[in-house]
Amino acid sequence: MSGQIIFETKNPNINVDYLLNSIKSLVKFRAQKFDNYFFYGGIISHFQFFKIDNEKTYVSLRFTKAKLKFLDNLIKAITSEVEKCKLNCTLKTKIDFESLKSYVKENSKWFGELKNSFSSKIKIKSDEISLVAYPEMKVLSFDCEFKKGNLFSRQKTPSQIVNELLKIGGLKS
Amino acid sequence: MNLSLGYKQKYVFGSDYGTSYFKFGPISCGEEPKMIENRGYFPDKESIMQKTFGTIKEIVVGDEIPLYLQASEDLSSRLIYPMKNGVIEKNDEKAWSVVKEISYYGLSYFKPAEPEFKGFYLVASLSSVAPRYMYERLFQIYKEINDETELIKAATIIPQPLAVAIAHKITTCVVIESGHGNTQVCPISRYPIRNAIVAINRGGGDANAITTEILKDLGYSDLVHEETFVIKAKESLGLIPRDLEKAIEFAKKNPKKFKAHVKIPGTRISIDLEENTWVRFLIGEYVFDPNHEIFQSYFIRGMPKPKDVRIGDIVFRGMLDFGESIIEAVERCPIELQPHLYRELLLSGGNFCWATPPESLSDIAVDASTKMKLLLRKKGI
Repeated sequence: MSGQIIFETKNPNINVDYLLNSIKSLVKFRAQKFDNYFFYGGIISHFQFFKIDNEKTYVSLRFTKAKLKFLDNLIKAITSEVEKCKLNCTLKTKIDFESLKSYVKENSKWFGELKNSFSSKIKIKSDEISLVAYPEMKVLSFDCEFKKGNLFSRQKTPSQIVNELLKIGGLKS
Repeated sequence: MNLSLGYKQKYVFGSDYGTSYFKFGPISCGEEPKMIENRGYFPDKESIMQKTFGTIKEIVVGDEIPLYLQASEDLSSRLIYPMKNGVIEKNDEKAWSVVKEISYYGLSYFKPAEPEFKGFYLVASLSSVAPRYMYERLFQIYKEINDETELIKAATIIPQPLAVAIAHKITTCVVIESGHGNTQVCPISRYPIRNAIVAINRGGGDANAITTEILKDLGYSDLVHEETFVIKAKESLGLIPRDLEKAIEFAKKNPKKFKAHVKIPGTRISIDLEENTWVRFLIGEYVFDPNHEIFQSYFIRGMPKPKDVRIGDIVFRGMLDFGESIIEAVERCPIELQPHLYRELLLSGGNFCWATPPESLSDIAVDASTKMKLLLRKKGI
């Protein structure tokens, strides 16, 4: 799995080291090479900080080769520091894309289809997920917002969302 | 949340125009792009199929090409490979129309259905030796595409080695980009140092050529015309020797240590080297340094020898080994910069994607980066 996480913050202390320390409290750190931070279960890279005005900073980071538990902990670490963050996650998967397409067609707020892809906005429990599927490439991408304090309680975790999507597509995680 | 940042998170798109392959895909597609051959086919509009079934496309690109191929004697005029060593002739309109078609193919392939989509943030890359007019023409192509269908919100075009340096966040380095058709050695100090670029007319395609000869010697002559078979054999068998002569000597004495059985999935075809496992080292060595006398017999037998070729104002050297090419490129740069350049060498491209040999054989077989260090050390760097 790979993807990006973006969020905004007014906390002037948030920088790469600050975020990494937060993540390291939940995930075991292995090594750093250039801009890549290797953890057990995934790699984080490409930290970017965009100062929009004197108060707000937008932050983005990429993760690659991520396992589900790593992703859960990554989101947990970030949402412990900021009010909300947006996750865009891509997985290469052997699910039955036709099953997924049938399901989202019937159960979605919105569905669209082109020659090589289909897109949809669906709800998994109370969480709104936008997804794009490229069946020929066997790629499924979804994005979702996570709020501070909701994870594991009122809101599904990334791994639960992934498992739910895989289940719809006829695959065990 | 900032709309632009969120939009970019979903809709950044990469296009890499390689000599042989066009790689493309949005950031939401993950780490593996889609890949098609950089070529286009101009179907015969006078054919019976055209008259029977109506309009055929002007240019066919991508996976559909094999379905349209007709008589082989037509191929040279109808099947167009637009790039020669990463460069397109300025006035070759057929070639440019193929580039436009593959660009449109790539963008439209991944066009999402979401109504919020207003075009991709496109980052395209060209060979480091691509002249300025190629950049200008490509921007013009993107404008034409966007005038027809809203696919591009913004576009930028950068040299391929710069894309590698940006990805690694290293501003001073030498990027050695080796693809299917050729290899570029490009020193970078904030931006590619164009006058220092060394281009080599040797790439993964040449590794395929030596693999083909090896397979012929092993008795697979009837299969070597199938490129997928040759590529599979190359990827499964190829090993890079620490020292070619020592590796061959060791492998001849201990053939079982380098045993490799290659099975082509979905077929009954398998490759067994038996006692000839030493040939595996020829494949890896040929990529890095084709000058060893052992390769002379292959050239004599008719294997194409990488030639020096002039494209525009750049000479692509055929037989230059990779170590020498790095030294030549760096020595074209200011003396004060040279130590900084040697410190960071980035290997990029499919031709450097060799499997890491097992630890137990590390005295004999090495990976690509170790081989590069050894080549440089041999020359005093």
